[in-house]
Amino acid sequence: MWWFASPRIVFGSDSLEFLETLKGKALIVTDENLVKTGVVDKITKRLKKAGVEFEIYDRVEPDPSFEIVMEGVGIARTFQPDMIIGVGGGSSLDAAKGIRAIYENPDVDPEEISPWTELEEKGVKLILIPTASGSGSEGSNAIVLTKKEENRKVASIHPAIMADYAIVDPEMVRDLPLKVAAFTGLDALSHAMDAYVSAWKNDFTDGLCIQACKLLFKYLPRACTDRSDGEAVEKVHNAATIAGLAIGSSQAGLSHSIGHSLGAVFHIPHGFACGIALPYTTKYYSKFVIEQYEELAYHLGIQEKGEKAIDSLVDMTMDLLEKINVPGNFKELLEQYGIERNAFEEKLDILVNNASLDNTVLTLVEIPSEEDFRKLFLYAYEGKNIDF
Amino acid sequence: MPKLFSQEWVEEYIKAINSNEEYANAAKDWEGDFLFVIEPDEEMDEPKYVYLDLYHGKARGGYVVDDPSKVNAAFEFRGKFSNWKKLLEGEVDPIKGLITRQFVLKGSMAKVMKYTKAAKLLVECTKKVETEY
Repeated sequence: MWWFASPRIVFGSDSLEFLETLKGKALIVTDENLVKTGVVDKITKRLKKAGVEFEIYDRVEPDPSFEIVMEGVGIARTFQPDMIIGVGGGSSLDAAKGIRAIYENPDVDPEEISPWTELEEKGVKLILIPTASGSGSEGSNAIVLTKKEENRKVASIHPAIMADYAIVDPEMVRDLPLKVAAFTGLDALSHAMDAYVSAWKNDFTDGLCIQACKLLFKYLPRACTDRSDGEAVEKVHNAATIAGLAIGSSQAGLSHSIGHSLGAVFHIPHGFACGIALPYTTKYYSKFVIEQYEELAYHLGIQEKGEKAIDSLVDMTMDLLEKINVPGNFKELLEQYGIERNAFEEKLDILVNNASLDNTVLTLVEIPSEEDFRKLFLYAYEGKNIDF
Repeated sequence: MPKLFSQEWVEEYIKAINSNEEYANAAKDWEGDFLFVIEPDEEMDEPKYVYLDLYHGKARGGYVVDDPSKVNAAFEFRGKFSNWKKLLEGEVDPIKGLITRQFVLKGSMAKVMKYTKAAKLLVECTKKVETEY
C-alpha cells in the first residue's frame, strides 16, 4: 500500500486570477524581501478585488526555523484565518505548511511532525504560490524546518502537509535573477532524477519524473539566459512543480544526501550542491539501478544501452551545467563562495557522516558505505570520473 | 530455525544487530529501549511481545515479554502478524508501513527522526535471522 497525492494545481498565465474567487480571511506567509519588492502586491491586489480580508506575516527567513513557524501560528491564532497563503520559495512555502499544520493541531509539537504523527485537517485551506522554480514544495507533502541550535535541517513528510491548491503562475518567476534560476532549476532536476531511481519509485511518479527531466534539459538553458523567454520560463516553472509531485511520493535520493550535507556545512545554495552532485551520483548509483537510468536516458533521447547510456546521461547533465554557467565540480563552486581546499578537507569527515545519516538514504535501493560517500565527495570535488 | 518472537529468535536477532558495523555507527548515540508487539489477526490468536534494549549502537539484551504492563520501554512498535511477516520478508518498507498505519510507533518522534538510517538497518538485521512463522 502506498499513496500519491497532489494539490489542485492552477497553472499558466493569469492563474493568479484564481485568488479572485476566494472568500473569507487569509493569512499570507512570506518573507520581507518579497513584500518590499512588490511581489506580494500581485497577491494582495487580487485578494482585495475578491473582498478577502488578509494579514501578512513576512518574517520567514531562509531555512525557516521551528520558532518562525510558532510565531506564525501565534499570528494565526489571533487573526483566525480561513486560509493560509504561502508566497515565496521553498522556505516560505514550508513555513506556511508548518503554520497550517500546527494551527489546526495545537497539541502537536512541530518538531514531532513525522510521517506517523496524528495530524488532522480541520478546514483551513492551504494555498501555495511559488516565486522560484525549484523546491517543488507547492506540489509535495514534504516539509523542511531547521533546528537552529543544532544547525540541522529536519525533513519530514506527512499526507496532511499537502496544500489544497498550488498556483503555478509564470508571472511570479519572470524576474528571477539568472543565478537563482540556475540553482533552483537544478534543484528541480535533482528531484526528478533522484525520484526516478528511488526505492519508492512507482507507476504514478515515473511519468512525472520523465516529463520534468525532459522540460528541464530542454528549457532550463534558455530560462537561465533570458528571463523574457516566456515559454522557457513557464516550462521550467511547471517542471519544478511536476518534480515536486514526484518526490512527494517517491522521495529524493543520493544527490540530496550529498547536497544536504554540503549545503548545511558550507551554506551554499541547495540546488547547486545537489545539481553538481548529480553527474557523480548518477554514475555511482547506476551500479544498483542501471535499468532505471537506462530507461530515463532513453526517454531523454539517448539511444545507447547499458553503461554507454549512463555515460551519455552523465555527459548530458554535465553539458547542462555548462550551458547554465554552473561549474561541474565542487572545487570551483566552493571557490566561488570563498571556500578553499583546506576548508573542504577539514570538513570532509563531517560531510561524509552527515550524508550517510541523511534521511534521504532511507529511500536508496542500497545505502553507500561511508568509504563510498567519502570517494563521492572527493571525486565530485575534483571533477573526476567515477570509477568505483 | 527459530520461531518469530521466540527467545531463540530474539537472541539470533541480537547477534545480527551486534555484528552490523553500519548499524553500530548509525546508532552510536542512540539510547532507548523498544517493545515490539505482534497484534493478533487471522493467522495468529494471541499477541506477542519482545523487549529489546538498544544502546549506543548495540543491543544490550532482549527477551520475550509475557506481561507488557511490566515493561516501560521508551518506544513501542506494533503491527498485525501479517504485516510483520511482510516487513521481515522485505515486502513492506518500515517507514511506508508507519505512514500507511500498517504499523504504529509510540515514543519520541523527534528522536526517531534523527536516526532513520539506524531504524532501516535495524529492520534489515531481521533478514539475517532465518525465521519460522
